Amino acid sequence: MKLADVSIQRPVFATMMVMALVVLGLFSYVKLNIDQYPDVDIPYVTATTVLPGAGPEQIESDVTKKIEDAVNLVAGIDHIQSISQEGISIVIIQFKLEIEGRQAAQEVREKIAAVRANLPADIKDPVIQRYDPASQPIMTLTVSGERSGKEITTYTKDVIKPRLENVPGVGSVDLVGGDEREIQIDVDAGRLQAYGLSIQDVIQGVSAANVEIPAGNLIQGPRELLLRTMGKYTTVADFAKVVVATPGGRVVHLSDLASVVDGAKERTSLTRVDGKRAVGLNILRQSGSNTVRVADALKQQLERVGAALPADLHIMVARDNSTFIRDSVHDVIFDIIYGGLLAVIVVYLFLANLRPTIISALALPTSIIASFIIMYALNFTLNVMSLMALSLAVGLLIDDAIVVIENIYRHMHEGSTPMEAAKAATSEIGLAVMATTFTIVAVFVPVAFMPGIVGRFFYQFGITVSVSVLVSLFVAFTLTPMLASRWLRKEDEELTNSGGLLRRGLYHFNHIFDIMSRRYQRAISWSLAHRKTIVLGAVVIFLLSFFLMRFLGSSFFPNSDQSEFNITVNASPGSSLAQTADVCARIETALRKHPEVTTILTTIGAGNDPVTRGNILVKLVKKRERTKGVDALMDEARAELRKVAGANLGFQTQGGPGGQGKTLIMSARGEDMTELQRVAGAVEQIVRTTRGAVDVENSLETSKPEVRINIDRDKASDLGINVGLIATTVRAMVDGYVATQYQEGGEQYDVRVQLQRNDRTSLQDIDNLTVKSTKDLPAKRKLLIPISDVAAVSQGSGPSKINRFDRQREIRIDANLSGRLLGEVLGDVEARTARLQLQPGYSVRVTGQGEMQAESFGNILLSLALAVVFVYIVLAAQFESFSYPFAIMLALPMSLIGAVFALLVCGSALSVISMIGIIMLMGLVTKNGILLVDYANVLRDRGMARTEALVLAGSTRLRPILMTTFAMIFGMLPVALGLGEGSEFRSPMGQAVIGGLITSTLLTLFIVPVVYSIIDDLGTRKGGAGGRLARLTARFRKRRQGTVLETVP
Amino acid sequence: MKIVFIVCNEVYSHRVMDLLAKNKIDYYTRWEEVAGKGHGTEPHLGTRSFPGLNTVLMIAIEDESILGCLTTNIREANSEIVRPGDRIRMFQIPLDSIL
Repeated sequence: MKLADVSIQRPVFATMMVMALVVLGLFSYVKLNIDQYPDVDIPYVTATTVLPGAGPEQIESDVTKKIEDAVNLVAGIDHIQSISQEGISIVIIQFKLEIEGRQAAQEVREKIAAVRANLPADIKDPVIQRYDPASQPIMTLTVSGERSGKEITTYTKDVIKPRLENVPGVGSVDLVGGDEREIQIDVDAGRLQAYGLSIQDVIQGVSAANVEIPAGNLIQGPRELLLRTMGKYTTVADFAKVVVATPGGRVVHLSDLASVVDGAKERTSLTRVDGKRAVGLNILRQSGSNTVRVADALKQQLERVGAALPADLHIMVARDNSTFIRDSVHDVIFDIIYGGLLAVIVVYLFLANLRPTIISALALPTSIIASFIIMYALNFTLNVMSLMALSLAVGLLIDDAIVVIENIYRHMHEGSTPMEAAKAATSEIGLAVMATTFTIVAVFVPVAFMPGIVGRFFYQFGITVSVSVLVSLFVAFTLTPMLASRWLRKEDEELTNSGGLLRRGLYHFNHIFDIMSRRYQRAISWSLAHRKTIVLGAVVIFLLSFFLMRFLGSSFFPNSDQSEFNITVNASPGSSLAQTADVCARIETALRKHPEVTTILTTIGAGNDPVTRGNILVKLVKKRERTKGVDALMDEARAELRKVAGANLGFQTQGGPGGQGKTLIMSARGEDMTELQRVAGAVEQIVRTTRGAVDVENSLETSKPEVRINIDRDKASDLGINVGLIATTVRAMVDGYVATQYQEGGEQYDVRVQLQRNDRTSLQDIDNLTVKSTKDLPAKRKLLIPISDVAAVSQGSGPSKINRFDRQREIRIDANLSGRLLGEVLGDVEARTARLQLQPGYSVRVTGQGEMQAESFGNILLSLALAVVFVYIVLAAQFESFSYPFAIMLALPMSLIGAVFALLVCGSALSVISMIGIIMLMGLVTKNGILLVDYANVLRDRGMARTEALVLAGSTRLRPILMTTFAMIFGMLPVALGLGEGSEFRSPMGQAVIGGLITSTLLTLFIVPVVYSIIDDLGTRKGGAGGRLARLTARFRKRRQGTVLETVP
Repeated sequence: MKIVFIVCNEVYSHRVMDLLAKNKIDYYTRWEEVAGKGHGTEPHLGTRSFPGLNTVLMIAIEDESILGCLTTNIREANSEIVRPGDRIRMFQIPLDSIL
């Protein structure tokens, strides 16, 4: 082995090579960013358009559809979703993973600008943002103090919010629960009628009296003076003096018609922290930006904002997602350290000597640190996946060094000097070590390049494992033999039953191992004599694993305990903010009884949510400080809060890579709302009656009660009014109209003209609203027409929002799960929805996590098949044999039973994470077979008979096989135990790998020698594919050996 | 006057060179990475099955006393090598003349 020889001869050179890797690795480590998961963000662009006062159906037809049609032409779109609700249209464009979000947003902006002229004139300009409005805020701040709510809100809106919005990576900052200052002109409807005026007259009068127009320059000799008309209001009291009209020459002031109030905008949102009201700021990040980096930048900005903050105001961070990310990343780092230490202890137990233990242990930090170079070069982050790769690989990284050092040690035991042993042992074992490493790489490369979101997710995982094991191979061929040749001592190998307790313990451990090794020799001999029994046993065990698999549930990703959960509150349609707040308060009271609850953050009407929708974030004490898991606490809360009337509640944990919606989502699509409602109703009924589905919700929501004004067009036309005039007048009276802006202290505030509250509460009030006709009465007075003369006012109900998916109307039925896994519930639901009679053009589909799970499992199975093929390719190439890889690869099915059994015992499900663990096993379990077959071949080359070679190879390689297996098992133990924050997410992988390793190691020790001998026999027989394959291999092998032997003098 | 062939496992090359230096022998011909098998020893073929290679040195020694010292030193070195098959071999052949 050239590399090892060079390293042994040039120790300084070898040390410096490894040193260079370590230095570069450390340099890269400090530069790596922290994140929760790899960047798997789907590029989202959201277009939000506000059309005040418009109903959902009008928004859909006049705004949403037009925007959908326009943006549909942008390249790289995956899906277009939209929500049309009262006064607002939200179009969410989901792009393919490879599309660059910034570029996509620009194209969307251009397309919408092109159709701007076709949209209603009174819309506010569409806002295009690069974020998913369904995502949770990464940070929530609350501002409180000894001032009025209006003052705090003003300061928050004008000073704090803009500064936070400027932080790179921030998608949006929503102010929730403030009292925004507004000058309100509350018009008395009776007085308006008495003076024969309309609300339009008031609006016109108020806006015309508040102007400041530059009038040019006045030149006075050599001087030039600026001329301005000072028509702006300077105090709120000025409004009362405005002359609205002069009917019949009589001056009507605003004070005659209305009262002017320096008040606050009607509240549409609310924030409450632990029962106390505050002004909240929900901060959402842009798609693709790093949560921790954005949170850090926000904190820095907050420090600057805090420095200038008035003494009586306080900013509190109520939610900070970066804390959990840091905690969970730190916990994975601890898993790596504990796993590494356990693996080193295993090595020490077997080698019973510090020197070889230290030499092999050096491979661990070296390989991990050197992996950071590639992670940095490929722009990876320190996230749960990349660190999980290292924590699972920690037992692997020491393997190559263990195998090499064990062989060196064995050679020394047989009489070689350390130098000679290092050279000979590395050369002897080199192929086997390379083969084990390359099979691991062969398994992880298909994983890294899986398509879809899961492929993205595991890309960093696969590459990190591959790089780290390749570095460990390099270390095993350079640093390990070099140090062994220089540092090992002949006398080190002596271990006697004397000395301290540790020495004697080690002696007994190794003594027992030697006895076991001798018994194993006899067991192999027995197996080789009873080949049929062994083969039959292997087949039975393999079939048993499939049988056991039926008892495993399936889910997309395991839920992780992030020490918090969310309750979404959907109050009854038509509920006011006060009613929703009351429902939330009752929930908060019930939650506060739980000692595990630390903080309750309630927001109502956040972002684009209506006042009927609230969100309660329940923060818990850290996982290690409580006995109940987040799921158990959520179930308890669900049971207790079932009695809370007036709201539909949804309980869910913080979203993982599967998204932040509910776990089970069924989508009914079609065009006609009535038929779609029928289909959705049937699906809802199915989901509700399926065991395990809880918090079932229909996205259509129960219709919001509405008052409809049905205009008689002929009558209206006859009386000199048109539909548009009626609509705008009614809107101005009820919703109000911002007539002008009032300026004070450099800030501008809306001046809203509307009817006083008493005049706009009952249906009768609507009937009495008057619209000014264009027809003249005598004395040039205009006719005032009551609404009831030209329209019939009726009550009805309409959808409070209309959802669309890929330009088709959609109703979603979503649910959370309790006590059952997604795969099971989905199986039941799908079986029943398949029996629904659907009209052409209507469909019911699984979406969300269910859809992703099906797609991902398919991709993973494909990767599994590819991994097996690659393992064969690597082994065949390494061993120069078409047939022997089969003997080695028989360990693969033997690992399945252990993995399935371990998952069953630990109560874990078959998820993307555990399935990747099973794929990982394909690379790990071949190692035992490689070590065995490789040495059997060496011994046969040296002239030993097959059976003797197999028995000797088995007993010789038992020690490295068990050492590496135990090192891997103990290295992964901290991951499998899942003790840290968010560890439930990663533990199933550790459990599957450990279970698989145990069974495959136990079984392959017997099965591989048997299958090796069967394949060998097939090669000696005539005919048959197996025989031809084996003969071909044997011929190659003979030719290769012949060439070498001819050089022997 | 003798010609001496020293054949040893390559890991002992340095030790042999040290012995030559000790005896002030700074003249030799050396072949490295030579495959071979000794009588009753394991083959050193540089393969995975038979790892290890040999080094061969050819030295023409005119002074019999130097040869004697070298022989003694090699015997002493061999006494420290545990496995008989790994011991340094020294072959002496009479040499008629050196041009």
